[in-house]
Amino acid sequence: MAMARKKVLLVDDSQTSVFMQQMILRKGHFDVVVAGDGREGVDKALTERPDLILMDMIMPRMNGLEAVRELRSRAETKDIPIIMVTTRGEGENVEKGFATGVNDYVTKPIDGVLLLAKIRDCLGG
Amino acid sequence: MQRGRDQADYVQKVRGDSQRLTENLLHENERLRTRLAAVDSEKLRLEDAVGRLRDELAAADRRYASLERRLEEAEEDSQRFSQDYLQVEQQNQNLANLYVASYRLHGTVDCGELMLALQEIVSNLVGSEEMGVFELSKDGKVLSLAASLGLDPQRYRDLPADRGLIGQALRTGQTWVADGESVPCRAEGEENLTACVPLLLGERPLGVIAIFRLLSHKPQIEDVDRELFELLAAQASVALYCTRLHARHGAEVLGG
Repeated sequence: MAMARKKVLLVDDSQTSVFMQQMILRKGHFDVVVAGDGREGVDKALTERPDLILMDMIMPRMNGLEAVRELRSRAETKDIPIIMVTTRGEGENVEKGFATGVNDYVTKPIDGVLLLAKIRDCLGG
Repeated sequence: MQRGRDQADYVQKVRGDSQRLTENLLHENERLRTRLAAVDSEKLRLEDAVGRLRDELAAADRRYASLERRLEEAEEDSQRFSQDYLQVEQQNQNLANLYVASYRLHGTVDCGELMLALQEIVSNLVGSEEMGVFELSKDGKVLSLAASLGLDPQRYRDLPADRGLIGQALRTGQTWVADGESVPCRAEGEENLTACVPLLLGERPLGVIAIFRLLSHKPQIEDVDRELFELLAAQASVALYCTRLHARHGAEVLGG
């Protein structure tokens, strides 16, 4: 019996980044839902109940860290694995992300093989 | 007389004992001979078994060596396949980058959106948050900053088209990429320049994309970036030209 496809919520305001990540995720046989900023990301996480969230950090309306904070404070979304997607790979930014509750991070430009490996790792293989 | 009889009895007894001893010895000798024959036979059987086991061991050694060779070959194959897979994945990603960039460049006829797309391409696909798109003035003397990311727009607003690495990329039509060696013709403001991509419509230069500092986790420009620069040089200029054309004649062409 075929395994149910996992659903990934992609939260990013950059169309180029979304397009790129969508290509990688579809190649990895994931269903993809897209949100254009942190606020929409939180709303879609509540309605779509994704298996994992890829969260950009710098976005209008609500940035990635604020969105992660809100997701972690809600019972419905507190356990969903979140991978932070950031252009800032320095220790301080990454530490801030982990302190807020992200499970892992990838840096832009995104390496497709690495991203899929981290997603599978977060989803337990 | 009595003494003589005793001696005869004694001799008789000794003779009887000797005879019994001899018989016993002969019997024991026979028993040992039989046992020796059995041991010899067992020895032959065991020697035969050892010989067979030695043959089997030699055959097992040969099989083991052969399996070890095959395992080594399989490991080498596996390693080669892994490397091939990674190369194919890298090529896929490179093609995906080019596809995404091309799609974004030609997905709009609005100049503002095109500039945003260029910023996103440089930020997300190359890995820099310091870049500027310069357009050449009509008289060909000035490069004006049309869009920028992470730069002081006042500082780079108008650059002389004949100066520095940005001017050189425009004049020669060749992409310039920093390779770690010192460059004598850096102009003021080009200290952190990493790459200059001329925007060419055919052979006619329209401007330059200047990429400054790379993101901290990106050590240098890679082959995939160079391929992307080639695409930008050819396609971004066409896209830019289309947006300008659309701004001037769009309403006329589309009947709006």
